[in-house]
Amino acid sequence: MSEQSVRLALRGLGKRYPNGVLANDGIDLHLARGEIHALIGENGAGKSTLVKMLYGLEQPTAGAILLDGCAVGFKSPAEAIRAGIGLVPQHVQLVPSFSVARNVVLGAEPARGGWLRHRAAARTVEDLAQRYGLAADPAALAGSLSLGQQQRVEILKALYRGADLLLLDEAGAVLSPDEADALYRALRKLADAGLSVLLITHKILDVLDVADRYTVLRRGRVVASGRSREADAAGLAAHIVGRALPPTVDAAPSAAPSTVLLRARGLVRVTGSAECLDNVDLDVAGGEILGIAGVEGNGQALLARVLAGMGQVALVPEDRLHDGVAPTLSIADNAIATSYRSPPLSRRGWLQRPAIDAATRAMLSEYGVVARGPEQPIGELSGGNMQKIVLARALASRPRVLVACQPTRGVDIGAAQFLRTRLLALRDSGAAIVLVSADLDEILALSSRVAVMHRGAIVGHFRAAGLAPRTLAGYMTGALRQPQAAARIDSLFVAPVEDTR
Amino acid sequence: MIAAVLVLLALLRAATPILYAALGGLLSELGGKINVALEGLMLVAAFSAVIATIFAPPGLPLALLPWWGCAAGLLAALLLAALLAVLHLECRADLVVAGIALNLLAAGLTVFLLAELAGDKGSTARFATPALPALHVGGLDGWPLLNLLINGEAGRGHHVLVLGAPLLAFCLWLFLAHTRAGAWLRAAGEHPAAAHAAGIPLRRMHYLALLGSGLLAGLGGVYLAMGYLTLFQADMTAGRGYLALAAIFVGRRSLPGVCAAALLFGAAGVLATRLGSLDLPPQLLAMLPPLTTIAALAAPGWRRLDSSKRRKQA
Amino acid sequence: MTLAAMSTFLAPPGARRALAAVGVALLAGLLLIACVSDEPLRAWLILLTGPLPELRLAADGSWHWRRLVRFGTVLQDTVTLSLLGLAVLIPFRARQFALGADGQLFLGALGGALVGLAWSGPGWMALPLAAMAAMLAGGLWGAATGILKWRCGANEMVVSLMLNLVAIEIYRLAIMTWLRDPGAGFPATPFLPPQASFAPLIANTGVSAMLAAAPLAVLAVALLLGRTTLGYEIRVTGAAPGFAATAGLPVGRAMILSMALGGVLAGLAGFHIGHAVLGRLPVDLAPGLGFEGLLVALLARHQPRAIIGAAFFYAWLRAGGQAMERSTDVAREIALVLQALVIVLVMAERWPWRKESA
Repeated sequence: MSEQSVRLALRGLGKRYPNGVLANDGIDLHLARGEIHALIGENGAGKSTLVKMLYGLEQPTAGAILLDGCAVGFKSPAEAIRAGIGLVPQHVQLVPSFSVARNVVLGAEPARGGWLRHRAAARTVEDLAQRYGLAADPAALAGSLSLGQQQRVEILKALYRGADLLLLDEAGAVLSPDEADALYRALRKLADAGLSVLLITHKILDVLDVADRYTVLRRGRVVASGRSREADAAGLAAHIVGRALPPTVDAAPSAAPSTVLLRARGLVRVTGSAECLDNVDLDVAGGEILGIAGVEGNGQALLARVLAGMGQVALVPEDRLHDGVAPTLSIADNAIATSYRSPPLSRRGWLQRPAIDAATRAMLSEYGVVARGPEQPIGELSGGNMQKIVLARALASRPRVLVACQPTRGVDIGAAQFLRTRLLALRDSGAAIVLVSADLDEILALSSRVAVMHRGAIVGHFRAAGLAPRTLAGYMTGALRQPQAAARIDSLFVAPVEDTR
Repeated sequence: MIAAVLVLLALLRAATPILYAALGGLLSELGGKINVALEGLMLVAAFSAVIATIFAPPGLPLALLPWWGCAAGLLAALLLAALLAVLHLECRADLVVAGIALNLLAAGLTVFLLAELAGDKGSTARFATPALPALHVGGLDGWPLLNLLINGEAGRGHHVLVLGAPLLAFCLWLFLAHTRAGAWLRAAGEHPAAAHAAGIPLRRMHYLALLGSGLLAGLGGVYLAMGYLTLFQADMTAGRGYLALAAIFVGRRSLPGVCAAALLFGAAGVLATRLGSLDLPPQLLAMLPPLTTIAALAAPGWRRLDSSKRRKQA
Repeated sequence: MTLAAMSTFLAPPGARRALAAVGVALLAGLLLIACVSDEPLRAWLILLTGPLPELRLAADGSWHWRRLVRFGTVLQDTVTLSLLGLAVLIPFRARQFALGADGQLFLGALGGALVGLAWSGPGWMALPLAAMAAMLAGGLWGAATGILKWRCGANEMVVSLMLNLVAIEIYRLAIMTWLRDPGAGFPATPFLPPQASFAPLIANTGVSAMLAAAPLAVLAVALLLGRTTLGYEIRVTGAAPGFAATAGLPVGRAMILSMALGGVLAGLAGFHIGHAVLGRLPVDLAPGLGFEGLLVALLARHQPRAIIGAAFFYAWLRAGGQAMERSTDVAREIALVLQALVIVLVMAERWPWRKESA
């Protein structure tokens, strides 16, 4: 490949955040004109940081970005857009009440002296759509489109601003297989027209189906790259997840699982997106952990909320800052939120401050949280410490069933280990735990059974022992599916199909 | 028939100040910043308009006097709106608290200055302050009903601001639907992240929203003091600014809905006065407008509650 | 209690800012007075010191208090404004902008007067029953706003303002049609019988045993918010509504009860006006006290322990304004301007010329 045709080159690019976290470390990558390049990695591998640096939302702390051979530094998205870089974001940013055409031209509308020229906008959008094979109705309201259609509008937005280097952030993540195919065909057409596409994803199939070349990121570093023709799914999966971590916690259950404590049959919730429930059956017995794996947005969060709403079920919510804690209130106020109504924390409507104080202090010391005291606003604690309080609160009521969503997300390694140990201890005491997590290592290390969700349905149900992450990958993306899969306690365990493509 | 037209005209007159304020409130609400200071904005505009005509420079021609007052009123409203904008956007004060505080400031300031400058704590009645002109169309004597409609009861025509209100509503529609600034304003209010990503200057849009709403509410205040009445009295707005807010909620943040709600609230006020001829205690009649407002606010939620209950039983 | 704990109690974090705002507003008041008055400094000083009672040496060598009546109005207004400030504070802690204190005050005064005038049972029961009637009336009216918000999603600010108007009309209707005193020179209820009145502690004022109501109410509200489960639910609902719902707290009940309790206190303020301050209810009782309660709550930064101080400041300003108007050419409404100005200054979280790091 000649130097002239290289559109984008990254040399030793790195980003260390002010709080010390090293998100990207020494990344080398190059992208030619007319090439579709897949940037793969798990959640937390550093993909989004890289994209932010390319789009001017963050500044690199090391290395260089070269566009057409010249070093560039973008201080804002406007500068990146001027240089011809367009971002198709992970979460669509369309104004719901505006039409497709108005959304595409937003911010750079064709106007004469301040007066909008609607017909000109519609025509421009139609032209773009036709040229690149992205079907779109300029007059449709953005709020009424499907996710796939909205994504196409986002691409049109970038193209309208003259982008010739597209960054697609997890574009195919929540699309149905048909919509994903349509997207990839469109990308191919764009590439054939000379645009460069950087496809950020965690789905191996994207690489193999549509990308010309690929780069794998893990923990902020490049661990593999090459031509997708020469890649194989198993090898890629191994690079993405690394070798399964040796279990740092002794996850072997102390007793065989006993009676079923939570039983759900035929859960259905229609929402019109992938975040739905499609006839879910599940059982969890005392003394076991059922892990729910899957790409985020495929119904796991909804399932967790539904299960937690059944009463007598403790919940560690997914969105810690919004649903898990009240950041401005004290640690004590947060800690008692689920148990304040009964003695010893309150008697006949009167809070017993000494008891609350003692209980909070006990919680702090038991969970190793370093804080000034129970009166400190909980928002001042680190994410890991906050999550410890959240878990402590959930466990304080000695629940028989616990649903934990992303319990170690955004939590430092030490705290994460601690939390996992606690979950296992709860399991050993005879409680039933449903663990929803995007961290496959965590799921495999802690669960006794694993169910994979895709588009609201359970598509795979396995015994956790001996299961490897790459096996789950195919089920998580919907490529593989166990017929009549369900997480019932009496479901026969079918040997998982190896994804040998 | 004549009586119906007379009621309609009274309704339009009563609804005009609420409509102006509601249009202003809608503008700022669509821009993402709710403006609860509409009451105070109307009050300072009304006060400044009247005081400016009392203290006008002596050489000013009589025909320009009302317009001088109108300009002063609008300027005062703009200044108060600017204060609100700076307090919220630069000093990070809570928008609703700042709005309420400015309402109270406006109420106190206008009464204080009224007492000091006009020497009377109640009103400026002892001064003869002008009204803005009325527009009338000649040559309609042959069609009494049409003449009544277009030229009002005394044949002198409608107040320029009464005519201006529906015109302004139309202009607002044009602005929001057909100009770039309007599109940017709506985007900034509806989805700030998308607007920011598209390069729209959010802060500028928020200033536009708040200052624009101040100007519109100011027109409502000017009409109160130089049209509906031709003086300023303490607490002249009597809650119209809050009625305008209610109109925004009742009208579901849509232009036709807000206009209809403003007319509804104007009607409630007129109805109360008309019913005064009946032998009912005046206090009951005075309760009518606020009760109407409450009913209008509660009704949509009630219907939604009802339908969801029915679905649950089904 | 250690010295540090005491000073933290007496000077909570916002106190310095509030005091600075008061100082700046008073200076601004001087400037404003200078624009309209011929002797601004004298007027300003009277504004600041007018309500002070004087201790004078009389001809016969004994000390006498002078100008106690003016100081008495400060004290009685402090009680009213403290109760009204608390009435706004409780819903605000649940994140509800309920402005219904005015209407609740009117209905509370009416309820108390009804019982006071009609009670024919044991005399010692008259005042407590009247107080309870006032609190009940106010509490129900406050709950009405809450229920409309919870069941119908109606915006509580507008609803409470509308209910104020309705309440004032009910008050006026009741006085004009049923409770009117034929012998009075202006439309009002008859004077409340002695069993249903408070004896004044300072002659010719409305200062009465109700002075104790202010600190007791502050204590009650502070205990409610800090020590009860209901207060906890109110605080959490206000601080993080999403978290409250997820944790299973009864958000709706907390919302409605916060407004009801606010109404109870506003009703008690009405009871104070009727039974202690005025002795009878005139039909033209001026609305607007509820908004002054809002100002008190804002100045106190919604902390119960600062309410009495804020109420005292406002009552002082009001009395000072009256004194100033009587002696100089400045209208007393400047007190209103200063009251609002203080709030505007207190509200600003940061100053635009001081660029702090986010």
